[in-house]
Amino acid sequence: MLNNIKFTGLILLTAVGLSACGGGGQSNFNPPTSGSSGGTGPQWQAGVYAPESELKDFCAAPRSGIDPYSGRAYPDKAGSATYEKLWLRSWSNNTYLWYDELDDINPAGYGVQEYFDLLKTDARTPSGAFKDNFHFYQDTAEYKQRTQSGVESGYGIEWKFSALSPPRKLEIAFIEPGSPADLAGLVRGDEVVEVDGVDFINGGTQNDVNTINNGLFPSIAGESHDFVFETVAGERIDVTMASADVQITPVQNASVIETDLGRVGYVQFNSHIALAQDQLIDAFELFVNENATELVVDLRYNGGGLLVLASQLGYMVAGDANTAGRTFEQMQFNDKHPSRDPVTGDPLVPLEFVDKRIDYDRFVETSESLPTLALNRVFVLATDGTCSASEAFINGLRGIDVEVILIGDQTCGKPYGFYPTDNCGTTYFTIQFTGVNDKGFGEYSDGFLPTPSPQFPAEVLGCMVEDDLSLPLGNPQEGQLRAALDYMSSGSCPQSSGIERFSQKTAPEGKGLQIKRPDPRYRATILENKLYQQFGRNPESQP
Amino acid sequence: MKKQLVIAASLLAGGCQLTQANEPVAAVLTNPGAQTKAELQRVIQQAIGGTPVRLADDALTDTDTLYIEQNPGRDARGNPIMGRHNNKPEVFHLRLQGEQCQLIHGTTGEVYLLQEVSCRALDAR
Repeated sequence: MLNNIKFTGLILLTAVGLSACGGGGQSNFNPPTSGSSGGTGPQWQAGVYAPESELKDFCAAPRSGIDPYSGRAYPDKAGSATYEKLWLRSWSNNTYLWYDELDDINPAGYGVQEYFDLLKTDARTPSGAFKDNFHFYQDTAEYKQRTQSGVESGYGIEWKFSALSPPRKLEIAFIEPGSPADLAGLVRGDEVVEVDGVDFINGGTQNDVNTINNGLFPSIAGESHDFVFETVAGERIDVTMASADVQITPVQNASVIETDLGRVGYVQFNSHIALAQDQLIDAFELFVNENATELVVDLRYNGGGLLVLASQLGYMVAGDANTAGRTFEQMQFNDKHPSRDPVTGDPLVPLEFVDKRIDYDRFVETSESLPTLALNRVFVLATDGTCSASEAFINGLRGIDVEVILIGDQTCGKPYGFYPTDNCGTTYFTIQFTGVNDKGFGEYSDGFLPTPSPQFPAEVLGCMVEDDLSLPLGNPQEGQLRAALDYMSSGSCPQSSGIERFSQKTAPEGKGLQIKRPDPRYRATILENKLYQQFGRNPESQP
Repeated sequence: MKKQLVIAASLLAGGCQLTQANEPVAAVLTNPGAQTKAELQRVIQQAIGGTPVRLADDALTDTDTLYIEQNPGRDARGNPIMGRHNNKPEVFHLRLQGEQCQLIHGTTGEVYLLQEVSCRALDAR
């Protein structure tokens, strides 16, 4: 029974198509009777917010026919751009986490998406970065497209980019097993030298850049391209690869490392997708069977996903005594919604540490208990690609006083979430909730910072250590893993990690023509700056 | 044009006296290729609506379970936009009953008989 309650509280429905509750500001708004865009439409009045439900789905260009995803008619009605902007304004006023930091701007003269871009806070974090870096919109038809869990089109390469402009630098972070890159013999650390005969490093014409982008990011599976790579040893290798729809393996390299202090479990966890559940269980069964007494969880390339998986991972690390009855994460909305989720209307129930296997057919807990190491501390390897649900894992454990020792770089800083909401064919993402741990802490919008001497809540005991591409992931000599193993015995950081800050957040842009940010995992949504246009996100606003 | 046959799982379970040999068993696909992929995409679209889903070229060749989720958009740093969610994936299971391959939709229990797909029992080699 407890398990049902526990899990019921964490199921979130995709909010597309759901209209959030009303309850914005004061209302003296008269909705149209005709729904026409002329004359009697809604007007902006400073400080007066109509209920969002009265403005929703009144569209400048209503969709008609049947929505293929719902099987029902589109909800759109004849309206206007003013309707759409005023809906965005009321929706934000009701549900945006920092609604009280928004200026009430007259929407006249702005485009709809242009106006949405204004409905975000300009406040900055203690580091000086913008607090809200997660304000997007996307065509709804595109947003709703579905894919096999963990399938990416490309070569099966996770890239690490260091410079997008000449002299460019692009290396392989890891390879998906069985992918075209794996079959071609490429490995972590290999560096791109040429793409389809073009000098990748210094190619300076637009044609060069186009050739490079087309080769790195083929638009469909089955495209063949030629590459020259340079290995870590300095050898040049010619490779021809055909793009494919590649199944990623979210959990890799699970192993037990023998040390003087005992057995140390290591697991590389790359993506919080449903497919990962059984792989994580297999990894922890290995650790339990091999009597591992310490654990290193490699989250350096894990940008998040299913929160319940982070909760399960937390349980598998910490065990019953540490987690029973404790909160893994609690959603918090703005102060207009202290006790109920404004989108679903459900009471706000904490997500506990889930200790059972999930049945994804029904999306409920089963009676099958998860394995656990029942540890009081865990080492986490991180970069700025360690984001969202991965950060929730760190925060959740810290909330129950399981010591997290962070090795690597500052994490991305995304303690937030949203219900993507469609209006008139565009799906909007605006930050609506933050996640806090058992201690009520969730203020890490600059990310978790590893440091030998933490002073502030978002600073975590650990070491700044560079991602070492010269050795395979899971190799005990690889820089970050070696630093974790050394820390276990010495309690101190390696000398070579005395880097004040080398954060990858430092923009890799330079002068000259830039290639696309080279990551096939989001090739599907980025085509030559498409993401910036799609999601209305200005790359200059990056922290 | 071959039609997909849809049978309610409850009919299968309750309406027949199945011998053990005829009970559906977990299976993996043995003929991956464009035709097979297209049939899987058609069946999945029939089951959950929307547009054809992207499938791996080797989908269901080493596991009997297929998870379908929304395409995870990426932000400018390459991280998933929906990095903190609990959206239910759609789940499908490949089964072999006699010589017939079936795709079962986990949520509804509907059974889709596959015409182009060849499969073998998961544990059989």
